Amino acid sequence: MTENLSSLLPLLVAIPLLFASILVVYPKAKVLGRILIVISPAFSIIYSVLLLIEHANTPVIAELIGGWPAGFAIAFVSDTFTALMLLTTSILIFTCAFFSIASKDSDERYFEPLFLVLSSGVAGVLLTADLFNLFVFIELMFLPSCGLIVMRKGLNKLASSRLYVTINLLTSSILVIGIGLIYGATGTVNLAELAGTAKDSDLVAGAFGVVLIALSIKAAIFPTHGWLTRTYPSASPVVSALFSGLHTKVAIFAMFRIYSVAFLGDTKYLFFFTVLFVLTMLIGALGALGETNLRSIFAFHMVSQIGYILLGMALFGYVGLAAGIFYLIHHLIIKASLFLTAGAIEETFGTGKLSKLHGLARSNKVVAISFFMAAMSISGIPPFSGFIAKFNLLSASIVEDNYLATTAIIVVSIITLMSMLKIWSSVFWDSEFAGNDIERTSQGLTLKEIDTSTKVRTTLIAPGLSLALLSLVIGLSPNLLINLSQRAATSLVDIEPYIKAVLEL
Amino acid sequence: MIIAVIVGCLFAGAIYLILQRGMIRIAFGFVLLTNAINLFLLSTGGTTNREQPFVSKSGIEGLADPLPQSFVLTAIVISFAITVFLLTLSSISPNDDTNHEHSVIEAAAIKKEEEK
Repeated sequence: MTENLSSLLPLLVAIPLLFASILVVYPKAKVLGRILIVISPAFSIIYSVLLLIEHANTPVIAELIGGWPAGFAIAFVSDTFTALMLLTTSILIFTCAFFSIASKDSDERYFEPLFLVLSSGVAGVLLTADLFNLFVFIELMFLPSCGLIVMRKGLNKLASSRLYVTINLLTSSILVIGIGLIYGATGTVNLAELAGTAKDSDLVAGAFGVVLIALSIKAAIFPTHGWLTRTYPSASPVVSALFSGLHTKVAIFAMFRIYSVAFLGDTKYLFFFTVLFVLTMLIGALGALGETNLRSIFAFHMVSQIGYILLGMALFGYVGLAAGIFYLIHHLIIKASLFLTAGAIEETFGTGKLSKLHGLARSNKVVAISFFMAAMSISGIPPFSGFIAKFNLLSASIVEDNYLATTAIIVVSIITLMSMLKIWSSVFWDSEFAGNDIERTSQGLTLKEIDTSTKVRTTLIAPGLSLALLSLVIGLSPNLLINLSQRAATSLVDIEPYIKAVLEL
Repeated sequence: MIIAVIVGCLFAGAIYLILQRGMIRIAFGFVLLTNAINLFLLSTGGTTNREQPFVSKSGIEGLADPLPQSFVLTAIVISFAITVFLLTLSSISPNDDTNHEHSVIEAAAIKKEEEK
């Protein structure tokens, strides 16, 4: 079983790439395209479930590409953390594929190939144990994203895509410089061979620091969060949902992995991390209060939630990491649900502005329920997964005696809830004056009204709703995911099996 | 030493250009940046050993490290794609490389805002 699974690991990267190349040749085969963007993540879901089952017995499985001897070969490694991330990102890609078909995003020329290349890059970043490969796969994620972010809009919105492209290019450059420094200092870029080097030598720690800086720009940590909040809301809804779950989360995954393998969770940097992540949480939540557009609010929330997830890393240790990983999985699901629900509203009413929408709770009950569940989950209200996630993180911060983190977790939750209530009261409650937008035309002042009694199509709301329900299920029976995230945390704390598998010791 | 100076100069030029407003200058900035990075990556393998790897006749002594060279090869390919994309972006954007206080996009947005 292990043999078969490990030798198939490269397929997770290869299959989407193969499908993408077929679709580049036949860009007009829309039906084929729709089938392939659904099949490819479905395959990944099945495969990662098998991996998760297998990891109960063998904690780490590795595949050395090309049959080169260990140490020379580029290894694809899967442990519980990887498999869990693979499963969640595949579920996300799967639902986004359905949404893109419903919202007609997939009718855009070359949408499907770009979508598939992006998903292949994600699998690559999660699986690789080689730092230079990490860079290549991050580029593989970034290049199709440049194409996806400019889709479905006119020239007037190219400005935000320019910001996205330049910032991410600069970040990739910093990343590759960091990797070059690591190679210069140690003579290898194999993560397993680099285990513990950053803890032993300050020189290597500095080189890894450059890599971590690059990854934290990708993850949009304060003070480099500005690019995310400006670019995500201007992409098309499905693209922003997809990016919210993939780009920043994959960077966070890499940070967790590098900090646990190369630094062995060195405690001397942890206070610095705590301060940085707490600031990220606060700035994100406060920024959300000032926004007036659905997806801009969610983008700021995302920044604050990224702080929460990484707090798990700042509370390094078995308990903290398990809490962080649980939060990561919860956040991936629920953030995509929020973005897709907002996307369904925007696709139907043509706007996401809070001032233009009202009374959706009366006309679109399912949308209201879906948003309500997701909003409650992200603010950490029981019985949703957000409650368990925040509770775990809170108890981890108390176990590690990090009361700064404890305070921040509670305060920021309340601020998050406030901005969710703001959305709820203006978009979903009835209001006499809302829904009218005064517009100055040549005839003078006119009231431009959006007909909020329009029904949101079922196919548009189904993806968001199903992810919200998934959060509810996790919240009601969290034991499975808690066990899995504890297993994942074990594989980060005890890296012995990881090194052995990659180097075939 | 000389490679450090060259990499430094290229980085300085690249950062200056990237901070400009016009997209075409940003694109040129990234061309410089990728070249700086390529030279930098080459130097990580050591600059004293210059024999060609794998097929050299003079034995193992003095062989260049092949790994940074393959890094650079990969980085060059990626930078091609990026340069093409940036140039496309600069050619389809409205004229932004002007001395006006606001770019065309911003000016249009401000005008619209004022009308309201």
